[in-house]
Amino acid sequence: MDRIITENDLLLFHYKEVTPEIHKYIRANLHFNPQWHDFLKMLSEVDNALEVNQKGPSKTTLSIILEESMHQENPTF
Amino acid sequence: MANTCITDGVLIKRYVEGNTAAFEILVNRHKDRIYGSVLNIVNDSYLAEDIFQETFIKIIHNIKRGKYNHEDKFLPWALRIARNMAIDSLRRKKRMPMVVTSDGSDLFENLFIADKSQEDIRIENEEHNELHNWIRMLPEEQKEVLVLRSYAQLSFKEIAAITDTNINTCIGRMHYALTNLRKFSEKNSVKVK
Repeated sequence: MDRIITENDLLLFHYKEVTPEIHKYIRANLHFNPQWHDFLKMLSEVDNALEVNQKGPSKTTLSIILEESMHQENPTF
Repeated sequence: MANTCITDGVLIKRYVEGNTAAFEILVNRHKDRIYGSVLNIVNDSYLAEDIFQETFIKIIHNIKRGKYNHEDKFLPWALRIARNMAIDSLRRKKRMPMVVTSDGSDLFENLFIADKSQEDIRIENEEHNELHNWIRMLPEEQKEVLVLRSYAQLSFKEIAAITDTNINTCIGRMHYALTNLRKFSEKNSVKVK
């Protein structure tokens, strides 16, 4: 198979949404295409940038939610 | 309750049956992903807390009223509610009159800056801080797809459903976001390729 790989293909490859056929092709040819490698590296950096600097909601907020979940009348179906 | 193998759908069913511990497991399972997605979209930790709380209150009410019918697709459903609330909040915020301080600057902007400064102390040495700041500067539609795909780990199909668009539009927006990040990096001569 000889085909043109677009950045959209690489995008879908990175997020594991590409077809098995294209996935296999990209894996097999990644070492020969440094620009693909750079693009995928950028996607990993974006993923990491969003992962760091995040903290969860405060305990107070969680307490309010859980209290609300208990106080509501149980449904009847 | 050994919760790792219990699906979201089962937890919701148990909660509907009156088991509030099941709901607590559900909240703990998804809180960071939902809160982080909202924070990445609105860039304001106070607002993100409010939206997160309102989202779960709405989730509780909807489940109690028997409106949950998404089986194990809880996260996309919850993120759709959170995303809509975030957009409403941002629209309301834009309409809010600016509260001016003695030096003529926006009080709420100062509050946000104060919050960021505290955060900055903690994250000063994080190597992705600059990239994260550029992500914050992306147009809303591009940032939204980037956050929902990269951080919330939804598929493009799920994002399309949440944003009432189609898969190609979502991929296009993601692509524009990456192009813009590259432009930012070129302007600032740093390493993002």
